[in-house]
Order: sequence, then structure tokens, then C-alpha cells
Amino acid sequence: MNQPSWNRRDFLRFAGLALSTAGSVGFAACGGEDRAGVGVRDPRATPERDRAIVNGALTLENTAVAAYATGLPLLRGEVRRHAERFLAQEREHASALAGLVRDMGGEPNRPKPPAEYRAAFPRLPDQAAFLRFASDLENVAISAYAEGIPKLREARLRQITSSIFCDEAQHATVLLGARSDGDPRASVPEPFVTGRVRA
Amino acid sequence: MEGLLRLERRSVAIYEALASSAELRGRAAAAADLFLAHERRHVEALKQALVTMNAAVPAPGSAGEQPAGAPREMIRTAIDHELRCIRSYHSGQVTLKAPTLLAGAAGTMANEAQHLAFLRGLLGEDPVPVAFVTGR
Repeated sequence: MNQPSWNRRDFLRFAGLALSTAGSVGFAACGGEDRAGVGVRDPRATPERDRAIVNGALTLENTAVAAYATGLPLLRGEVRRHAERFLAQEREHASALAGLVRDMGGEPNRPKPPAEYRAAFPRLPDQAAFLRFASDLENVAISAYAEGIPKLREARLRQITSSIFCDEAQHATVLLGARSDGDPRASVPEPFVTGRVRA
Repeated sequence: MEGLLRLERRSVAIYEALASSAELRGRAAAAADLFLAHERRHVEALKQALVTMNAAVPAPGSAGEQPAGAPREMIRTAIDHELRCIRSYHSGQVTLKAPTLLAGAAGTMANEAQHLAFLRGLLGEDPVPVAFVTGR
């Protein structure tokens, strides 16, 4: 059986992005924060870093759009209906993030040509191969959002990206469910979503 | 943080009721057990965060009305509560400032969103109806 996989390293190499290693899980080591949650923010947070993080997320979303567009012809039934919905949602994310980058005075990262995506993606002979690839890709995105959100300086950006993060987490649940006959342990594998637990 | 803890304790109560229901079977029963374990982890993480902040951990209050009725009604109660939790964590991205709290809130919010998608699927509904998950 062909079992394509696209891991974090593959993605970073392809996208030319540098993401940091994953941080803590849960609410550990919260330091000087007070009870109301008003406390010490990351002193390294700057508008420029915000823009870079959002633009990096846009690269992920552009890749997800290309992946779902590539995979749709392989899919059937309920899986296809979900993938069509997810493709539309990834396009909404990309459009929103590009708008945010422009609002911050930046130039949104553009999608690569379709042929470049197809050449970089693993071989996708059938629905099972696509499901594995797509769930790996969603986990790469989840991991990037989990790391990027706490670093954002602007609360509005944290809210928008966390709402996208949750949507990607839901995509992963549906894809993992399709691969496991709806087994809840496979579909929702961790109590604090980091994208680091792979099926 | 205390508000989030109250919500998570309510989540535990809801999933305890689901997990102990004799009418819930198969995937729904397995999901209730799993999600109960997740919610307990959330409660413990929030309590630990309060302790780390030298804040008092509030005593558990009333668990509220327990979900009852047919499995679909109980699952609907859980869905409604997950939406409230997501909304609160989404608001927390404004009020919280420390990176570790923001990371914890985001990771927990995403887990609640996954519960929500799975529960909607159990009811035969679209599991992911919107592109931006903000709760209700």
C-alpha cells in the first residue's frame, strides 16, 4: 500500500518558512500573569513579527487550497462533499489572511503555480492516499497556528487566527475520522491541540 | 481564568452524564468517555495555572442541570455547551496576555472545536459548517 506522508520538514522545505519548535502543552508555566489574565506579554512581539506570522499562515493556506484542489478528483461520496467544503473554507482563510497582511502594510505571499505544488506533493493514487496526505498537511498547519498565535501582539489577530486554527482542527478530526471508521480516539487524539500527534 | 474553569467543570458534568447513560452506545459512548477525560485534563490545567499565579482555586459550584432525555437531546446539550466554551476561549485571546496562557487557551479551544465537529457528525449534521470558528 502506498502511504504518502507530508511532514513538517517537507512543508518547511517547500514553503521556505522557518517555524520555531513547539512550546508547552496546556497552561503550564504561566509566570507573572494575574488572575484576570492581564499580565506580561511577550516582549519580542512587534507589528513586523505579527505580519510575518500572518503571512506565513497565508502560505500554509495557499498550500491547503492547492492540496484540496488536487485531491478532489480522487474523492467520492461524503468524503468528497467534506473536501469541497474544506477547499472553500481554505480559500476563505487565505483571502482573510491576505487582507490582514495588506492592512499591516505588507505584500501577501502569493500562491505558487499549480504545477509547482503538484511536483512537491507526494504521489496521490487514490482516496486513501489523499486522506493521509491531507490529514498530515492539516496537522502541519495546526502545529504552525499553535505556535504562532501566542506570539501575536495584536489581540484581533489572535482572535482571527485562533478561529482559523479551530477550523483546521475540525478538518483534521473529519479526515482522521474518515481514515478510522469514525473512531473518536483517532479523530480527537489530544486534549490540547498541538498538531504533534499523528495518526 | 475562573470563568473558564467554571465552564470546564460544567463540561465534565455534562460528559459524566453522557458517559453514564445506558442509552448511549457505540461511537457515541466511546466519544463521551474520551471527551470526559479531555475535559478533566482541561480542569486540571486551569487549576494548575491558577495555583501558579498564586490565585485561589474556586470551589466547585453547582454542576447545573444535567443533560437528560434521548441520546440526541443529550448530545445537543453537549454541542450547545461546547459552543459556549469556544466563545469564551475566543474572548480569552483578547483578555489574556502571557504567551503560555494564550497557547493553552488556543489548544483547549481547538480541542473543544474538535469535540463539536465529532458530536455534529454523530447527529448527521455538517461537522464543519463555518470557516471561522468563534462559538456562540
